[in-house]
Amino acid sequence: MKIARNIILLFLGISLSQCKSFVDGVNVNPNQFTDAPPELIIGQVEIAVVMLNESQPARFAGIFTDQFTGFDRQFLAYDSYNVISGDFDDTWTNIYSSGIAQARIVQEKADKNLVLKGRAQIMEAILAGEATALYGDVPYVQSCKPLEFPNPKYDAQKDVLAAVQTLLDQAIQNVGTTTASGALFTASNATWAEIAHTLKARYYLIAKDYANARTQALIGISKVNGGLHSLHTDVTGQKNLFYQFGIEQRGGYMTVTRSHLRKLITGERARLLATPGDANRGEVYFDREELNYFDNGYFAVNAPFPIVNWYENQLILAEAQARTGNTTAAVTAFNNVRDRLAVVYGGSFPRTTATGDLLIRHILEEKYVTMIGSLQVYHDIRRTANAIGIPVKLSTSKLIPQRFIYPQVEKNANTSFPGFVDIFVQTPVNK
Amino acid sequence: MKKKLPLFFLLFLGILTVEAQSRVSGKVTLNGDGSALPGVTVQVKGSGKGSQTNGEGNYVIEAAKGQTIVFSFIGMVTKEVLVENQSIINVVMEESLSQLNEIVVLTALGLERKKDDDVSSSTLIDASALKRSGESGVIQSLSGKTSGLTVVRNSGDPGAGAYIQIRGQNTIFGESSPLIILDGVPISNSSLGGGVDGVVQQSRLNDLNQDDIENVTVLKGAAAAAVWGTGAANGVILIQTKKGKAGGKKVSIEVSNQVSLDHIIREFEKQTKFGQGYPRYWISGASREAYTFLYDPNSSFSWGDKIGLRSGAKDDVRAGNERFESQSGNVYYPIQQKNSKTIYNESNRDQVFQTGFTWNKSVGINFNSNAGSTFFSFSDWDQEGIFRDNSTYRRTTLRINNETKLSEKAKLKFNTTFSKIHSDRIQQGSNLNGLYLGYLRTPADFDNRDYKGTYYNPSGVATLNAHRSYRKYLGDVAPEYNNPGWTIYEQENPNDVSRFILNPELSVRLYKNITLTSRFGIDYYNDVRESYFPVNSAGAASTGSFGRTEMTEMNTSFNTFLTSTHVISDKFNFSWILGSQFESLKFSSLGGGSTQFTNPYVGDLRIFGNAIAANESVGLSRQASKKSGAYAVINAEILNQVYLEMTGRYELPSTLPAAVFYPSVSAGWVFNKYLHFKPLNYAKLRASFGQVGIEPGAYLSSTNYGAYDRGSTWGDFLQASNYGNPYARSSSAGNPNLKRELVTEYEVGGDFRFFNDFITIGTTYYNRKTTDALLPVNLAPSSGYTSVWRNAAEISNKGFEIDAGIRLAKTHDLEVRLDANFSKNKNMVESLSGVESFFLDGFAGASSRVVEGYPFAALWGGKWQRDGQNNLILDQNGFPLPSTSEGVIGDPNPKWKGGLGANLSWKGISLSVQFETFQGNQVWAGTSGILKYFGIDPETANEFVTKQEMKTYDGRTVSTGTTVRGNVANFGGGNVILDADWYSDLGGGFGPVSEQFIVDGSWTKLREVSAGYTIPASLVQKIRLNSASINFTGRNLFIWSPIKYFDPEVNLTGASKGRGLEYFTNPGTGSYVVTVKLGF
Repeated sequence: MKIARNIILLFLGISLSQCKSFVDGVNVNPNQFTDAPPELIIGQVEIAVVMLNESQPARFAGIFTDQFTGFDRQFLAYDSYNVISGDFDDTWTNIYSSGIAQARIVQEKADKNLVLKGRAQIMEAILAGEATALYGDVPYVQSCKPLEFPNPKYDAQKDVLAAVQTLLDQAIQNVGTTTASGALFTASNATWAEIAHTLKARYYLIAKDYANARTQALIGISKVNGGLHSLHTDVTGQKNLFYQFGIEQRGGYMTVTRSHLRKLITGERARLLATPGDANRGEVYFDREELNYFDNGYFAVNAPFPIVNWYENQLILAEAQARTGNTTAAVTAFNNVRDRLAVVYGGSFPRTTATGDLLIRHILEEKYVTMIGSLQVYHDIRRTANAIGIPVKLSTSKLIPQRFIYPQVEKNANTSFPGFVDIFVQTPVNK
Repeated sequence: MKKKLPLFFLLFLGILTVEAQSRVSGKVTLNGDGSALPGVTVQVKGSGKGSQTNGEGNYVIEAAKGQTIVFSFIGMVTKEVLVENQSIINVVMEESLSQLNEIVVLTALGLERKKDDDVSSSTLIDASALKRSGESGVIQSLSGKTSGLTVVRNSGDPGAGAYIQIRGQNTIFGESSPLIILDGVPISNSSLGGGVDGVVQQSRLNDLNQDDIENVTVLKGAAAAAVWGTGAANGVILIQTKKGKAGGKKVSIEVSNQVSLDHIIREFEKQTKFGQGYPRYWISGASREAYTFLYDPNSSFSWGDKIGLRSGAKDDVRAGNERFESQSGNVYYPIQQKNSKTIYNESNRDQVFQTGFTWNKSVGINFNSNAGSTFFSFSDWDQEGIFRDNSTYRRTTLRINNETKLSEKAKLKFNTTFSKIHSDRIQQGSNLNGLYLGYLRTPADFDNRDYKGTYYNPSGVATLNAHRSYRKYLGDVAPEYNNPGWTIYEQENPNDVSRFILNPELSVRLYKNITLTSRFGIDYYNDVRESYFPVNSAGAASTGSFGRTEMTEMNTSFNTFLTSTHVISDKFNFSWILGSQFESLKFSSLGGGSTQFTNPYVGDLRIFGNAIAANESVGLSRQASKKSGAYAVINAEILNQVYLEMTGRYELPSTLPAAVFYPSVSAGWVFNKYLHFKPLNYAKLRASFGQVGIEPGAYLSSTNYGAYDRGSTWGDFLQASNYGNPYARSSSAGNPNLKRELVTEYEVGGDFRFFNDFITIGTTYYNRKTTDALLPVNLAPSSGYTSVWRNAAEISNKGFEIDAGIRLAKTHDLEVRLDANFSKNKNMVESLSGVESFFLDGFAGASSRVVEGYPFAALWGGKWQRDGQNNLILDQNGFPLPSTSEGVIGDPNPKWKGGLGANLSWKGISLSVQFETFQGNQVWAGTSGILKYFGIDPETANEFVTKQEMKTYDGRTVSTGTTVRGNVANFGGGNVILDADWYSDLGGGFGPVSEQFIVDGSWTKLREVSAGYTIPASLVQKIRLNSASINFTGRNLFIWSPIKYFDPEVNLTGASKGRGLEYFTNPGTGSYVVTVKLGF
């Protein structure tokens, strides 16, 4: 029996002694990095900003404001405002985990590079500002701090808008006088500070703080082609997102068939301020019932798309001036835009001589037409209780959708989730 | 016939202590051919003394006069001989007519054990039952044949993988299928791929030649599988391949020739009344034109004009420069007025489908000599699928199994196999380049046959290789969806696999009754997949796309164990196993892609570099994991009626920071002799407890940074590498504190036989629970992460299984058996730690998910708005409203399933039928929702005259007496009209409400029916054959199911855990098989 025992002991000895060393050091990921410098991360934040302004949120906004028509498949349902929480998952995830979270990492790591920190703050301001404008109350103070706050609380819309202003103030301190640039943007001749001021004006406007909007717009983007525009080429993965959607991915889903914007441009429906030059502009915007995806079209494969620009700044300024009683200054700002449009498109873009409420509606209508595909149009229509009379597409509703529905992903996982709010309920600033 | 040399019996050595012994020796031979029988247990009755025969069938034993020597061997009738004065006792043993008490199962380590001594619910299925079905995969042929095992064919594509599940699903993120042990060593069973698009992938289990298989044992319970620890959580399937037969003829050859024909079993019906187009109302906005239908030759819809009202003349065309000249010479001009009444549904079908054809040739050769035996086989499975081109599966296999006796104490086994597979696949699913998508959406009045040619624009400029499909009928630019002809003839998805499996095994008797067995296994494969989309394919591939991925996986294992048996007395014996095991997995995938070809005329070249640098991509992914473990097994038999088994496994996987211990204990009691109830000739109760585990995936402990591309769910995206390759922190947080998932199971059951084995019943109840199941717990994206890995979930499976058999007749010539099995499994996701649901597979609007409080893989999607009483909330027009949030809409798991088989053999004739049924499972019938949207579904082609004023979905009022295309429905607010505006919006498959497309997916199939004839030996020997047989099998010939238009077994997401999704999935097939076998 001794031999048997020795055999067993020897066996156990050999096999157990090898157990640990056999598996040591195997579980080290050979495929991915576990850290990256902030200079490299900022580009991802910019990607999130471009996605937010040019991808599905812009398509929803355009359909809700009747610039575009949901014409096929799921987009037919969207055209009658049939949307569900899951439809807004990707937008929300893009804003937070792909956007704000990465922007915060840049800010943490960029202590020695203040300009970079400032850029990250500007990007975060756009993401947070648009989030609250679209969804109403959203997480901000506790957002993107996963260790401290796995279930971020939802902050009141006015508080988020205020926080965005503070963040932009810090950004202005950090960026100094550097010219705006970024891997995702076309060359710009605006400074980061100007852009930040225009953004401050935008979010004051959304908060209906017209006095501050005016002050900021006055020191915002000053050069006619200044601003931030996304960079696109005809290379896969770098193409204009409207083009990708309309040509490569979902041909026919979204058109401008019988859309309000198309009718205004073609003259089928009269504009408040007659604009013969729209015939020229229409050729850049549309190709019959479709968006113009051809070369030199507004949605061409390599067409840059505005994130924030001079037109917006001028039109904010015009409206803010008008609403603070400075009619002359408002008319000037507005006519600057009209003059510029005549240069860009050719044709006649007559100046306005209107005053009072009509002037404001001239401004809003021009913004509706000029900023095609922009989220800002959607914010304006809701903020002004549809002052320019966009058609409501659903026979059972008096309002266009007043907000993006909170996403299903947030409902599923956040114990602080406040509950769904109906799509026709106004966000707090618009009540 | 079983003539095996199981280790278990080699160990059976007696202890000799009694006086007045004389030496008895002799030879044991087989009745019939007189061949020697090695490994026969030779015991002196009532003494505990024992010996066994050697390789030549000789034995020696000490026995006293008056004692009885018992000769026993599995598969043989036990023989007793009284010792008188003989010193030589030669014995001739007879094969038993498969006595039920002689049925064996394999234990987890691949050792044979009598079923009556086994205390688990394991079942063994032998080769004859597997081969009848004529399936290309071993596993597919198991379906319906035992309880507790689910095998689902996801598609009829040649070589398609199957979904395998024992009892219920245990894990969300771990392996979904059982551990596969081939001849004692684990092998890969990967099914890589399986999303909502692409091609149907093979399963690596299909690489084995089914003619090489001797038998398959299914270990259902955790206790039986516990020696495998981590990895055995989904049960174990043990496959034993053939070995050379010891004894008998020195060389014997079997040649098998099998031919089978495959056909589609269910097809979608398409309406033939209305043409391509849409209501004029959609253009004009005038309600009075809602039922005036327009023909539009580029429309996606079949809501166009009534074909029967056309003149029937030739179409008016504008014969000018602009035209499409097809490769067959037909010329198509722009259509001015559609006049033709021709319906093309039949010819469009025949463009694509054919009868599939398979020819399988195989040869098996046995050699044997004094020192050992060898089995050699070669097979060639050559299959053409039901699609006319580019749908093939060709598998060539080679196997050599050798067993050599090195000395009296040592034996070497060497099993090796090589498989080479070439396959061509067809794109399917939610895929602009997929077959069914373009095929089923084609309007009845569009002829798909001319799919390729030259387009000339109005100025006469030619575009070569233009692609004509119903949405671009002149081929002027790439269409939105492929013409099905283009999909099968022009696109290519070849796949090449080479695979080796080597497993040498050495066993040495070290000391008395202690034997050391060492097994080494290498399983290596290389899988090369290509996909090629020529220029002008639909969608994103319109400028051409080529991709190639090379995957390699190597599994090695080294398993060494000591076994020993101790017979203490005839009332008590025990055996033990002590083992250690090292396993290692290495996987790598290297792939690249070229899109937007710079030279569109690629011919047969499938190369990289035909694109600008930015459109070339490359990717590499590697994975390595290892595992070391030590285990012990103790078996005891007390008073010939109580059986005990205990196992323990101590294990250290590389993916975990600390070691894990898995225990199990089982007991059985054979008690029929206490019942004094004559009809019950055998009764055993058994109970067991066991734990097994699932290890976390590799590398989940750290949070990564990557150059992530970002896109919307609609496909538009920004690629980081084109924007300076910026990095982001992954939205999925790593977790260094992960533990193993633990599966704990209690099992009780019984095995009973009545009326001298006339009726057999085996039943098992089990209750298994997975705790600490890993889950990427969804975090609120507002927290900065979208998920984190946690041991967060709890899943339970409780179920009941019955296997019953009735032996209606059993004589030497005639055997008639009925076998039935029934399984009921109740699966429940008990907890997800607050996560409402976790996405497994599918679409944004309809998916298969894990949802707390619902069965695994529950169907999830958009629902109707309902009030507190569950009534639909209606809009002012009387139509239901979509709910703003999604929820559970169905359950893809069957309430119960069963199998029923009958076998008759009489002399050389054998007949069998096998039914299988799934009951109470639901399916998301995604295709039919889409076909309603397009106006293809026959339901949408109904016409009627309104008898009352009714509302439509878009708020129109339709007056009495209007001829309407559509249907009348009442959602609770009075009759309303379902017309194009309903189906193309909320009532169609692109609307947000998936709930309406959930259907009962129950089915019963005539799985196989088979008739065979073995020509009597006396006849075939005249033509120098050993044996000859012919067999006819029909497989999946009939389905009884409420689902009429597709095989209810198909699953869009293949063998993945996402179940119950059907969306333009390639169809399932039925087959007729003829097999001829000749033995030499």
